[in-house]
Amino acid sequence: MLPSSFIFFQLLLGGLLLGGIYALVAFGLSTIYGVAKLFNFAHGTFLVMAGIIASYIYFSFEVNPFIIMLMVAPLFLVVGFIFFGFFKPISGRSPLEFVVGTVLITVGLMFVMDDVSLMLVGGRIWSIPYSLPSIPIGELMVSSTRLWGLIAVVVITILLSLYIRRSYVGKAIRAATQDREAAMLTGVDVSKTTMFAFGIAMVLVAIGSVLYCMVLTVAPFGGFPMTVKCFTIVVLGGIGSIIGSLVGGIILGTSEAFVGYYFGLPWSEAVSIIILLIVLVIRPQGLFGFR
Amino acid sequence: MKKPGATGKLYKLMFAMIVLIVVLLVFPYFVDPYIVSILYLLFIFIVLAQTFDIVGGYMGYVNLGHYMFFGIGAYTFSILIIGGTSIPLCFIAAIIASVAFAVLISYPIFRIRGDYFVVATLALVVLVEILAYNLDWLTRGSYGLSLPPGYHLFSCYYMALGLTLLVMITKYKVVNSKFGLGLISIREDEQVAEVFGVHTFKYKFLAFILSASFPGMAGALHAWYLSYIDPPTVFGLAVALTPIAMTLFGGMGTMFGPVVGVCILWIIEQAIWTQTEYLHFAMYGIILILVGIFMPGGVVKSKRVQALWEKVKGRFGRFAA
Repeated sequence: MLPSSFIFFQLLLGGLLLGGIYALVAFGLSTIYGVAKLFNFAHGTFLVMAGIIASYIYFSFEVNPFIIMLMVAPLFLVVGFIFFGFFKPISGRSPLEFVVGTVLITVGLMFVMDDVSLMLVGGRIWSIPYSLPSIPIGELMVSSTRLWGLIAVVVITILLSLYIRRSYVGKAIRAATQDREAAMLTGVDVSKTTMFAFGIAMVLVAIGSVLYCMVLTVAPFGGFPMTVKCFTIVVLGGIGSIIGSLVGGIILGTSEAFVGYYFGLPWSEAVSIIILLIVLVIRPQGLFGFR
Repeated sequence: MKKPGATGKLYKLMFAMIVLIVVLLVFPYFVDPYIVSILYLLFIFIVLAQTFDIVGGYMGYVNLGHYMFFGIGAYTFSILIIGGTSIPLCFIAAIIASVAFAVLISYPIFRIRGDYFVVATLALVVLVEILAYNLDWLTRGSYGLSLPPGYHLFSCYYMALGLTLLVMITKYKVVNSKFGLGLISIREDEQVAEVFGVHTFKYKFLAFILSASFPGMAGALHAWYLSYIDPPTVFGLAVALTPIAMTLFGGMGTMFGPVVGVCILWIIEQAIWTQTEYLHFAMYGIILILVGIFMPGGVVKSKRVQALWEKVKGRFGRFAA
């Protein structure tokens, strides 16, 4: 019989790690939304694609997942630039037509990527079954894979927030998020900035997908629930805020872990949507009051 | 209001409509049941597309979760008919259930707009699908529900035809009324509409309920037709987005755009499904991407198509004169 504090600690650790991964991926979504004012329905599908590619590399070459991360991230930088190219022709349209156009393009991409990946790799699930020996902390045994994952999330979040705060591209992205026209007037190349925002978002998706595959699995046609989770985090944490994404991600990750344990795993999928609806009823402007 | 000659045109239009309806009424007796089933599904898609368009196209609230009303109707109908309720009562209950669900979610969902609304409504479909999977004492989860077996193709065809006509008339009435004008004003600028005395929440609420009732009926009909439903067939993301993709393809916010979109894409889909084994969704996706990039207004509003339509109309006008 396991002590309940042990289960609690394991769930908390798992929830924190999952929340950190969600936060990274959701920050990508909110960056794209902030700069380009478009919602990427294919965001979770990109994560599934990256996860399948990463798992494929792992099974083919048996390399360390953190090296896979370094291989997949540049690839997805390029994917981000290509993805940005899809929205160039519709940038000058009227608001409603722009929304409809972006919905059509991202939902279309979602279908295409899901179906092509299904045809190429089949309907099986993919993951990176990479595990290190557990380490004892006091009386508790802790999976060191999860600990390393958590450390990686923390390091990447710090690097990311330094990049967004200090670098020129990061400042340009923040400026374009706050006011597109004003950013243009002060000499920011908004089009190029948007392109880099797409690139950064996709790099975050790639990094997040490797970590995600280390703890959970991905499968073709499983991307959209992930997009919903990212959207919930964006609604909770606000647009373009790393801290907000982190808070939202951790709330979602831990509540999913606990609901999954106490109510059964199928219900953990519903948590994100229920949180989303509750937030929309109580505080449509998000927890931190800006959107 | 009426231009000279408008009454003549109206009579001609009505005459054409009556001929079309009569042809559709006697149609099933002369063709293969396969073609009847294709036409039946076409009607179902027209019902979904046109009711989506009242909220999405005219009011500017793109409700990607429109299909959930269809699924709720289907499940309500199936659960009740398995319980032994009489069929007309089951149909009525299906409509009531989907309308009740619309009432329930209208308050949270109309607190947001724009792309937030779009994502939240699509998330609702996922939620309802999860519920259908997990409430297995009610829905039997992924096993699905088997209805009392029976061959209902013809009755379903006629009911779908009637429903389609009802939807077309309803949409025509809505679009050409003060109510429709209010919806368009909400689409163009909600705050201005509110200032000019449009009771925006009431309008949004009514339009939402109107657009929820017909899909509930269509879903019940479809469950009766299939005799078996499970979560993916009535809530799956791919099927949920199909009628909406058709509407966007044809042209939102127009009287006949959704019908055009449904007819074109349904024919293409039939051709693809029967010809190829793989990549149905990928082809669908490519069509969506191309429409999104080149004509977000849809086929009907595209300039070339309109020029062609003017040409056709001009020629017919000459014949008439």
